[in-house]
Amino acid sequence: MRIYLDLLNRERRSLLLRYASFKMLIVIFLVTYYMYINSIINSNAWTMGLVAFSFIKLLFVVAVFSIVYSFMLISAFAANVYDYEVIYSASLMLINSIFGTNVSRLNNILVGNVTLSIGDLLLMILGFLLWISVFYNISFVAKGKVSHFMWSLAIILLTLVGLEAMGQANIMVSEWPPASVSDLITNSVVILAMLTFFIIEICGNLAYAATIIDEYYKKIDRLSKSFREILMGQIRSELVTSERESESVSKLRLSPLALLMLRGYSGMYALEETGEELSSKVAGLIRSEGKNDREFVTSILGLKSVPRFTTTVLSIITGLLVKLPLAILLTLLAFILANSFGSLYPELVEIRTPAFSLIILTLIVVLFYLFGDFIARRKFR
Amino acid sequence: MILKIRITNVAGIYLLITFFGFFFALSLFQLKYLLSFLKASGVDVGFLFPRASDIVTFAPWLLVFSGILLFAFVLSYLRFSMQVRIVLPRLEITRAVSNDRIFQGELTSVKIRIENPTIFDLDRVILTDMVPDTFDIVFGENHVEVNIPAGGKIEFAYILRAAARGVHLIGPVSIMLMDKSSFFATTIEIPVFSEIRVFPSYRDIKRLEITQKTMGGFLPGQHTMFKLKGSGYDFHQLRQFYYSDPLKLIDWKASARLGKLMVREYHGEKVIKIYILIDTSYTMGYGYRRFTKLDFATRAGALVAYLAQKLQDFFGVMLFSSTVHNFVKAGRGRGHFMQILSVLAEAEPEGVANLPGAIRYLIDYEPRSCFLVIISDLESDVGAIVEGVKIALAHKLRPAIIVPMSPLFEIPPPRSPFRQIFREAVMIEYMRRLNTISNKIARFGVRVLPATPQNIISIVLESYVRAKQRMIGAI
Repeated sequence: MRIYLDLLNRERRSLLLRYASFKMLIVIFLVTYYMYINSIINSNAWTMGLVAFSFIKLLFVVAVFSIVYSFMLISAFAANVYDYEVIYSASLMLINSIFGTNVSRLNNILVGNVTLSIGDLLLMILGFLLWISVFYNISFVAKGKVSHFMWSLAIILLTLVGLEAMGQANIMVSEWPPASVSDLITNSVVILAMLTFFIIEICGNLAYAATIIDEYYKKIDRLSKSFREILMGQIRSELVTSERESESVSKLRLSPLALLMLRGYSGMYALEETGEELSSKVAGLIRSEGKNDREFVTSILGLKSVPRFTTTVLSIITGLLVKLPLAILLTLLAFILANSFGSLYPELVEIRTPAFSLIILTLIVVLFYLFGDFIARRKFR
Repeated sequence: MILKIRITNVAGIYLLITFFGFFFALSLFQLKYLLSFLKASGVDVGFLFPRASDIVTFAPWLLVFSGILLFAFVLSYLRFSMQVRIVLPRLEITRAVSNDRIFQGELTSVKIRIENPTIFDLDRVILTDMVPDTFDIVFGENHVEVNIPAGGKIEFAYILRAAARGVHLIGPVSIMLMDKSSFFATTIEIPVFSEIRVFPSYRDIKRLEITQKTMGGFLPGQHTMFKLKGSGYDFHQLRQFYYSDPLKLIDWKASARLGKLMVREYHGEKVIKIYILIDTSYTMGYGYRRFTKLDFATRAGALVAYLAQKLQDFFGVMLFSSTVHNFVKAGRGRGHFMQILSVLAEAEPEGVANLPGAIRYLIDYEPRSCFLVIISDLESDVGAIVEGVKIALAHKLRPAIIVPMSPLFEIPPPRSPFRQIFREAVMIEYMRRLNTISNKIARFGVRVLPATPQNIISIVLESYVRAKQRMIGAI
């Protein structure tokens, strides 16, 4: 049976390697994405985001201060002390000793002497959101939750627009429709859109692979431990049981007949319903089933349902090669159709509005869905 | 097969981004009007958003980007729905159970094999083989999260411990399918079932066997209890002649040798006919999980059947409540014992006890005298119980009634004084009712034996041994 333990160990190592490589790939793609984001926004946004954290901390201190001050006021009044200045200073000192904050800064905030413009505040919020997206992505890498990754993308895109409006980003956008290919290549929005699309596809797929491997690794680990315990006799309570058994027999003064009967019983009673009994039964069953069916042991150890990822990378590439061009083509088709309506009926203002383009797009989406569904039903009935 | 495809929260956020893009693009087109309106109204936001007018150029690009995202989503959905429609119904699932007839507490292994014969990959499948809670999974796992490539197959196995007696179904196999991007999910249950028949625990029988072994193959007192002196073929003893003895019993050789008349005595084994009647009314299903009154009753029944088989007696079983659910006519032998175990495994609590009906049914099939072990909580109508006893006695059926005392089986040991008082009160009320029934039945010379979880097995055994000693139901 040791051979199966070796097999399990080998499988665990191989899974770990695959898991690490998938995670590394995710990190590389995310870092690339953030590098691009960083290149189009002002670094001031990141700094203001950090300032926001300290500002939030300061707000928390102010909240604590107000509670402390209220209690101290009540206590002082109870002791017939009505010196507000002393109570205020004592509260400030106490808070300073607990949190170690800058007293003059805290005092400034408390007296309403805050030098923070609305622009700074907005920038702080946007910077804060940028950092939140980073944290979401860290969580995504660590836990593999795709929803966190999606939230981070949503936050980044929202923040980028805000930063651009505030003049804190340098997004190069050409007029629609693009006049040349260079208009497309140099267009920051196009590059960002492409990167976002790629990252959704690639990171989503890699995260799925990593999650499956992670689950499987844990499963193999659990099974390996219990298999070793069962087959190699590594059961902790074994000694305890035998001590209990010998103690109970030796302490009693028994007649020869009673002793005879007890011997018969004790072997079974001592083990009845214990982990040892169950383990030995399981080990016996695995051995006997293993003799009848050679593949039984590998099945029970999960070695015959190991996830395979030979085609995963290939399917990501083919998915991108099919999905992205088709999606672009269909979108462009929708807009071209909307434009042609506009040129056909130039007197109608409504059909030259973006809302009309959107309606056409929605229509094409619905038609495409119905057509695709119909084809699938017909072909694979 | 109609399958519902769920859109996950990941897809929700994706769509949020897409529709936000559309919404934002449309808003941007109106932004220049808003800005000029604000300027005309005397509100200048230029200091806050200096490039507000520039981002209007984003609008068409945003529309295109959102459109691409939306089409990509639809394409993903079409691919997934195709997977669901084509692959899931064609999955070949087989389950192999190593032993489908086991005793309670014993183990069996289950192996599941899933094959994907189609040309499509299954990206992410969470397979769960549904196991009822009457089994414990002691090794391996009944679920797996995996991908099954086109034409591929997977196998997984696990070991079950039968924790409760009965006829149980393993299955169906639940499959949760998700796409690679975790956008869509669907769940389906494939109706692949396997029946496992779990006989009552063999533990009590094993104990009896061990006791037998330590006593040199006999049960305590068996050699004195179950022999009938005076008839049979086995030599018992020589004794002096009494005038009442028939002359044919005189051993002339021994008389000549000893110089006085000696009689040769023989003995033969008593054989009785016993029926185990188990009340399977719904109240018998109460008690701790996997240790209900009915579970104890079936364990006791199995033990009596085993003992009867060992001692060459005829034994049968009946499960009854409102009607007779199962009846096995008295017989003997190993095969008959296994049949009885199989019937005991099927006992399920349902309906209300109808003892007279059960006795009448028995009389139809067994018109001759026999001994009945009735295991019932007697929680049905008192008059009906008494009537049942009367009918039995009128047809030479001698019953002994073993009553599992409900409060002791159902109410957990008290941990607080309040619960102690509650338990005491329940016990007092219960005993008052039981005494009333006992007194009514005792008038006919029938014993009602109250049993606790600790002694129910021994009480049932004792009543059997008593019947054997007194030749009740002897053939």
